[in-house]
Amino acid sequence: MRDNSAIIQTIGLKKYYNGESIKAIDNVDLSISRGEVVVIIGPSGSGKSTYLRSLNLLELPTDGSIIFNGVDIADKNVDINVHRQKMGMVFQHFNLFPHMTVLGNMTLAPMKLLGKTREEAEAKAMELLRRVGLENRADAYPSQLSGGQKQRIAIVRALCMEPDVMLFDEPTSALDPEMVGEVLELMKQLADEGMTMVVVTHEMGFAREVADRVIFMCDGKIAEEGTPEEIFTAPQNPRTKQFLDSIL
Amino acid sequence: MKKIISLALALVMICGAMIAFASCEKKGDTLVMATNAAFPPYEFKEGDAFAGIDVEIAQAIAEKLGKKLEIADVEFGSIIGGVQEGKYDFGMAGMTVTEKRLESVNFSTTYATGIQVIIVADGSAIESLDSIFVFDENGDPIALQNPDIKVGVQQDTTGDIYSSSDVTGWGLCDVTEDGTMTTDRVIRYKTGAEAVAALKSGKVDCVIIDNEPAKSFVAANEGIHILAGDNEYAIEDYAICVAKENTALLEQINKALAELTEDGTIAKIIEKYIPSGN
Amino acid sequence: MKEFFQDFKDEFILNFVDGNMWKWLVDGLKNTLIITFFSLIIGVVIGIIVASIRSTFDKNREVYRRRGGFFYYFQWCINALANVYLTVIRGTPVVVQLLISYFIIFSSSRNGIGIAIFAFGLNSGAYVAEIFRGGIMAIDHGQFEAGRSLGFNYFQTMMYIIIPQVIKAVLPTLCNEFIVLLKETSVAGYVGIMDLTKAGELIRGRTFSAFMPLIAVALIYLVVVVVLTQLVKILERRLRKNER
Repeated sequence: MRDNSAIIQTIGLKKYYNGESIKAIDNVDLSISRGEVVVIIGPSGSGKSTYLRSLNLLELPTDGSIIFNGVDIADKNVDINVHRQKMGMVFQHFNLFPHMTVLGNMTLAPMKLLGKTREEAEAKAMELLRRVGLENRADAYPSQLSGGQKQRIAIVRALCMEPDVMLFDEPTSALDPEMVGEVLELMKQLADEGMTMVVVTHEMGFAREVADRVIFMCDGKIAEEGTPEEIFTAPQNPRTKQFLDSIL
Repeated sequence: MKKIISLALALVMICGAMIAFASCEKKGDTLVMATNAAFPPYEFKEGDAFAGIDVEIAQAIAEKLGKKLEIADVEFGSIIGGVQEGKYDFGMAGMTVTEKRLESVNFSTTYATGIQVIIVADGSAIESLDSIFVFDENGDPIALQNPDIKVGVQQDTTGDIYSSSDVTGWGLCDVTEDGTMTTDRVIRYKTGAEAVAALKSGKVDCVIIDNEPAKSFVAANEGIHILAGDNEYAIEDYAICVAKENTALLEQINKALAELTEDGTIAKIIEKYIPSGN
Repeated sequence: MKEFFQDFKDEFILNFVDGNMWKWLVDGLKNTLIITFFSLIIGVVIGIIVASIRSTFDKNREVYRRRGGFFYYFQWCINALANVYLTVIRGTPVVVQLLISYFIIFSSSRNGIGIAIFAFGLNSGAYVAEIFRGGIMAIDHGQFEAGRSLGFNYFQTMMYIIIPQVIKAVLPTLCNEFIVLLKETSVAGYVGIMDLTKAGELIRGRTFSAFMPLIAVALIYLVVVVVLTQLVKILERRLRKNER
């Protein structure tokens, strides 16, 4: 069952509400290798966001295992906080800390959790800011940034912790259309650098271009998976076909 | 919508005005007595009704005058002010005639004599007036035995007023040359019962209060007693207060009191609440 | 008109100048402010603790239940205790609480002001707790998730991310609680404490005039409240400026 080459793997993952009446995630087995970019697509309510959020236990699974770096983090005796440091997460609504500057947002966790000095943390943060071309916004508050800037800051905030895997929960859904591009561009750069990424998105162009593997989820299950080529040009499952027809 | 609001406003104002006028209006056939019904046996509540020496005497006076008695139960400190303003016809609450009070209202003839006594806890260090005051050869107090003494009183009663003066006036406060008075030795409670409760739990060293309610309190509570012997704190006369301009009512009350004393009604009422065998 | 002013002057002298009775008002105001200030400090401490207990339990109920065992029941009990405290304090009048503190809980203490600070502090704590809890609950849940996803544990997330935002959000409400508390302490006279209201009552009981002492007391409260309200406004403006 265990896939030793995987950086993150779920085995029989289940998330039920109201006893067993609502099955948000229904017995999902998936293993993601180091450096792989996995894009999860599916209709709303298919459980794709719930699945992504359960990977770092923001949603508590009802049953099943999540093996991350060889440890089953779904085990209740595991200190999840240690493992979360190695799993960066990007949210639909950015969730920057409004009472801190951009620099403050980026240095808080490295200083408090990794024991870095302020100088080290700020140097790292500035390096990342320069990379995304926002070094002049270091002292700005989140309320002074555009949506696209906020999301790029949220991504580099997660990168400050030097994670092994990045989880993206619909990172462009809350953005105005003209800002989607800059965020996807940054994500693409990350993918090119070999970051392991799990992305829930509705951006089919991104999935087609960047993903190593596309997962189509439906009713809490993996209905179909394959290369972008396979999924987008020759879907086997009628549900996949129906979904793609409805959005493309 | 606007109409409804203005209508509602008008209604509220009319109701307000009616209430205001209703309280101003003096019905010719009622007499309003202001009292503080927490001073047994002079006035207290029995269930919903008022009872006590003052209440019964007032009832008898009202009957003599051919009027209906109405009782307003207010704080002791509000009685004289209310009578002055004409809110009440007269005040009757075991009230002692003092010079200060005479500046504000007139008093009827005396109908009873009150004695201010000192209640202490059993085993208290205070055994007589000599434990509180240092007296000179004339028997006048000149100093306090214990400057840390705490005395409980009912706010605004004669016990409060006497004890709030300086030591030469039998008070317990320090009064500086400019008239400033310390207030931390006298602790003023809303009711006598609270003062007694404070005494029992040791918050105050003694309670100064009228003799008659004191007897009731001592009877109802274990472990406290009135300083016996020649240790009364003050002896004073009780009278009814009436607004200065209302001399007609004062005359009527005095006349009624005279008649009621004559025919023994007052003595009977006092005997009912304070049996002389006691 | 002249007569009116003469009367006014006489009344004023009778009520405040004679016997230096105005100094009672000063003493009373001092006690009122002391009681209010220290009560609020106690209230804020109790309030933060109770609010943290309650919102921690609310937010982590699922995790605790899943973990089960002693820890869950311990949390459950503490939360229940906090609820009982809130219900009792908010369900009974502050005068009654004060009388109970004075005559029952601390029946042998002679420190009236200390007892009043305890009683009003305990009372205020319940209201402050709800202010803080409201503040914590009003913070977008995404803030918790962002904190947790970076690897902070629950308490670190509260300390570094949530509480600073809550304090900023509730500070004006907290100041209003101070104003409410100031006025509520006017019942301290029930246990023989010489507060501002009691000072007015004492003057009234000695001069038998209602107008002057009551109006004076009302004016003093009003001035203090207006000054505090202005300070709150300045504070609010500065907080808003920070956010830009």
